[in-house]
Amino acid sequence: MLDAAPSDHGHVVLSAITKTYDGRHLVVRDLNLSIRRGEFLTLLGPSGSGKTTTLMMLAGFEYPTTGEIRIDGAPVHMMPPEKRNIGMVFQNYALFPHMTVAENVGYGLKVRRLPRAEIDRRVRAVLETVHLAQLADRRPGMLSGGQQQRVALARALVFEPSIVLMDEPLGALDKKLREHLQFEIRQIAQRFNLTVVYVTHDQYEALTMSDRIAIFNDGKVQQLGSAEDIYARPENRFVAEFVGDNNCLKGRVTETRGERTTLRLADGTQVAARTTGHVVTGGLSTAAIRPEALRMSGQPFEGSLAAKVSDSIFCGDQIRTVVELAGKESLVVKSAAHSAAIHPVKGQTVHVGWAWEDAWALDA
Amino acid sequence: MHQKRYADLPLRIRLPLYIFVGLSLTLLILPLAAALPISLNSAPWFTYPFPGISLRWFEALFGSEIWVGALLNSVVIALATTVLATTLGTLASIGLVNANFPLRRLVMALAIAPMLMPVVVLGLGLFVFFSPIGLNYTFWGVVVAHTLMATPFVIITVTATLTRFDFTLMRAAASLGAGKVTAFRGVMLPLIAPGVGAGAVFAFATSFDEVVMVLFIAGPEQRTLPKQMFTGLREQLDPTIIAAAVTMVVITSVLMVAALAIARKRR
Repeated sequence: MLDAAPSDHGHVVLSAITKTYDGRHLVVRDLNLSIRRGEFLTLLGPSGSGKTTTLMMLAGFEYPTTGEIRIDGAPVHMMPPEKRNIGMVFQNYALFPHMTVAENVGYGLKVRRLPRAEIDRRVRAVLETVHLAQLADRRPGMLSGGQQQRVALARALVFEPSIVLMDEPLGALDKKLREHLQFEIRQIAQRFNLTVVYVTHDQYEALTMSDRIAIFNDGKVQQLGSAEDIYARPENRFVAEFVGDNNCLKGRVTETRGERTTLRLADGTQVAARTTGHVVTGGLSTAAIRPEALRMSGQPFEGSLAAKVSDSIFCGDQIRTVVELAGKESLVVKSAAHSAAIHPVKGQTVHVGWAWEDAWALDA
Repeated sequence: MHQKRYADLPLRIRLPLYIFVGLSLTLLILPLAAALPISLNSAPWFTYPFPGISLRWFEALFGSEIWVGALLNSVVIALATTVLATTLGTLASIGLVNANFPLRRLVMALAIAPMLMPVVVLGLGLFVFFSPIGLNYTFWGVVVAHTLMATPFVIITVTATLTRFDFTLMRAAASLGAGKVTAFRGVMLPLIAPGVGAGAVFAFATSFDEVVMVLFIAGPEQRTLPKQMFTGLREQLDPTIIAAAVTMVVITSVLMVAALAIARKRR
């Protein structure tokens, strides 16, 4: 499930980390995470889930209460941030308002006492990478949000750290610009073979940018895996509900036959889903099915359930139909808008069903 | 953006306000306006009208070793106080704006207390405290006493500036490899300079015209301008003392203008 035992040889390894501010409430509990060199890892979760605290511990602004952080095998968890050689892009950019763009970017080199000419050369090179060479002499206050973001990125890259941390760096930007910069950040990360730890609460950002995603909730990593893993094979109900849309049907496990588990819903309806470690015969479980995995038809078909259409929303490329089952559970069905199959009308009776392999029997 | 302006008010409301403000300002300036011109009196009296205009009292002031010595003492003590109070006050402020500072309110109240305490009480207390450690009648004794009085002004101006300072900038500097001191010099200090500068001006002014502490603590070697004026009042009453007053007012005014210029730079 979680990789990374403490002995694991990752580039950055967090082992058995806990963090508490008040001595009682754990913000991070028993966190184990191994980050590979050159990996783009996103920490995704709701606010208060521990993702930002984890990033702050990596940066050195917070110290773990217990556990350790190693970079290339060397313990760094008690090292002050200025000794860690880790680049960081802050949520509100945190650009120095009294310095020009070039001075901001060059600051990390200046404090490392590099020669003037070397600083100029590297600042110019990194500003060109982020397409800001022509703004080198401006003050941050005169730049747009997107430009400030690029300056912050350039400043974090200029001293060539192998690890770059990003704390919701695109949160303050509008959607178009955000998508553009997501692509650019990804490109730069690949080009310089950066190990990026990226914090966001925007799941689409996480899905599109990351090599792996760690889903945080309640101070714990709920699931660690590729975007596809997380989306297609949720390990628990939190992940299933947090990432993308999922229909959740709660029921009692009546039978488990190998991969296939059967649940009985409150009104007695039987549904089938894939077996997971959460399944105990006789216990409660939740079947999670993606809206796009649901099939809807005017005629009953094998394994289908009768349902009544309560709403139908046209979304351009798709139609989202909300249907209600006999037991009052409501399901969302996504179907392609061009599909000639069925155009549901409110109040109409339809039949919905899914291949059992597309549903997951998770914790209740 | 529409803002209400004074000019929009009807005259019957504005006129009494103008008169009230005018009267208040007059009352504040009148004593100075009455006293200062006497420094130009050609006769050694404190009465109007003058028989003639002359600079003889300024000549007497700057020709007198005692007066010039007092002026120099005042300036040197005020400068030393400024350096000490500004350094201590700025460092204290950085600690005191941190929400995690233990007993923050209490420490803040204690740090500001010298400003509210009767100076006579402070002076007496310091005199008693200084005598066993030999600081009475010394230069550093006076500087320490003045620093005690001046530091609260620095703390007030610097904390005011620091509450608007974005501490994420210090984190950014740290992530870029800057140690605490480097980050303070390169990032924090330039951004809070207006507050520090204003505090320094207040510190200088506090020390420069202080007389009560000096009466308690200073010896003959630390005779400052205010103290010399104080003794001068009793010993040889002539307009030289007014010339000294004019000199003080000029120096303080220059500082005030400097403080205003700094404050304007605060955006």
